[in-house]
Amino acid sequence: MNAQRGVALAEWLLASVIGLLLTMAAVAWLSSSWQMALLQRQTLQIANAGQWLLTRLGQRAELAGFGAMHPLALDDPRLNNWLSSNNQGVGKPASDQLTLQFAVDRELMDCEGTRIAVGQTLVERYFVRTDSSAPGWVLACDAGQCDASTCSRLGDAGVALLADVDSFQVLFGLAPTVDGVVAYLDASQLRSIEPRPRVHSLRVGLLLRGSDILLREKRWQPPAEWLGYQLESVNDARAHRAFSQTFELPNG
Amino acid sequence: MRAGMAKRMLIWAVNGIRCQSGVGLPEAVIALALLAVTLNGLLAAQWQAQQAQRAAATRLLALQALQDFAVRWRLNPRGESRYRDALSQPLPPPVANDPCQLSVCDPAARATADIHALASRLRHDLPQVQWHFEPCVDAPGRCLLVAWSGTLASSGPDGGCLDASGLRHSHANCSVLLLP
Repeated sequence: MNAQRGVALAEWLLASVIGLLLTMAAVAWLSSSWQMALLQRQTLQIANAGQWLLTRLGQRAELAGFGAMHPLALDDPRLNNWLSSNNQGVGKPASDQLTLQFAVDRELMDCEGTRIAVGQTLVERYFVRTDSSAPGWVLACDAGQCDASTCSRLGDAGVALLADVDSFQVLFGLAPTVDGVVAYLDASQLRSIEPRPRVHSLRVGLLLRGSDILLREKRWQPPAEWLGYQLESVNDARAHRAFSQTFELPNG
Repeated sequence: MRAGMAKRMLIWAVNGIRCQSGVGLPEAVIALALLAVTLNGLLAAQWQAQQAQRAAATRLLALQALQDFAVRWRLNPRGESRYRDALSQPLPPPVANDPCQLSVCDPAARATADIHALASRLRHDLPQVQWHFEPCVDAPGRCLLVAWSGTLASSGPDGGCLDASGLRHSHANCSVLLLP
């Protein structure tokens, strides 16, 4: 017996169609999974970046004003050029600058990595600028130190702490009146008050965007209200997130 | 499967019969079943990874909102009764803006604004969110239970968030803020 059976044309066609369908499904699944993974990774990265920066600012807010001084350095005329201010012209919406100071009672590193000796006053200035390391804006920190006679190192470009920052906003909560009434002001309002008011809290807003480009544009709906701003929804191939956090200034 | 085919071919060769056949239906069905099992495992693993990542991001957002609210309450001690009253009610609807953000407000108005700010933030960041303000199971004081994604904001033997000893169920989507 000499029997030889090949594969009929119909079987070939059927196998090809099934194979094609399986391949298409696999490609669609991989593409969708990649898109989903990218989006989720960005979301988590932005959440972690925001949390990291807010935690860092919170640690400084706890110390600001320590050593019987104004937490925002409003009491030191040597620092007048570097005080907290709003609408610096960089960022969208235009970002603010935050300057904090405290007396150092144990040796520590400032935000630029310089060791500060006991007895000095550490001044840190947080602001938004461009940087060669990232295409957008970065949140930078410039640190300096003061003693009884002079202040040094303050006023340079500082170091970039966080990339992909769209905006950095700060409001200042005044000490409550005898009736418990509290007002939050921006930096220019705060600096126009005489005598220099006591500040009990900070409210910091941070608008971040993802570092990676997604495969498709996605609509981001901002919160209804963000530190007094009504942000518009954005169609963008990057993820976005708005953070806001209130900090107590225990030494304010 | 391949060993079986080789054995059959060997028998045919021994008998002097040259016979060659294609793939039978049972073999095709078994191959497809194996493919389906593999795909199912891959899909399940991917889905679980996505869920875990989403849960981590959502929990972080919930904690940030609660942390902000706790500081706001601490800075406004005279508004305490208003905070307690408002938390005892269901989650209020979102508001367009915070009237106390840039205006001078008395403690009660600020407390109301803080509650609305918290509710708006939770509604914006968490799906199907709900809260419940109740005495803590395992500590003095009261606890604000915030639950989302179908988890019930409740504690006790039948609690959706915490069990009878105050421990969070492993798969519950909820966070707890201990308040005075």
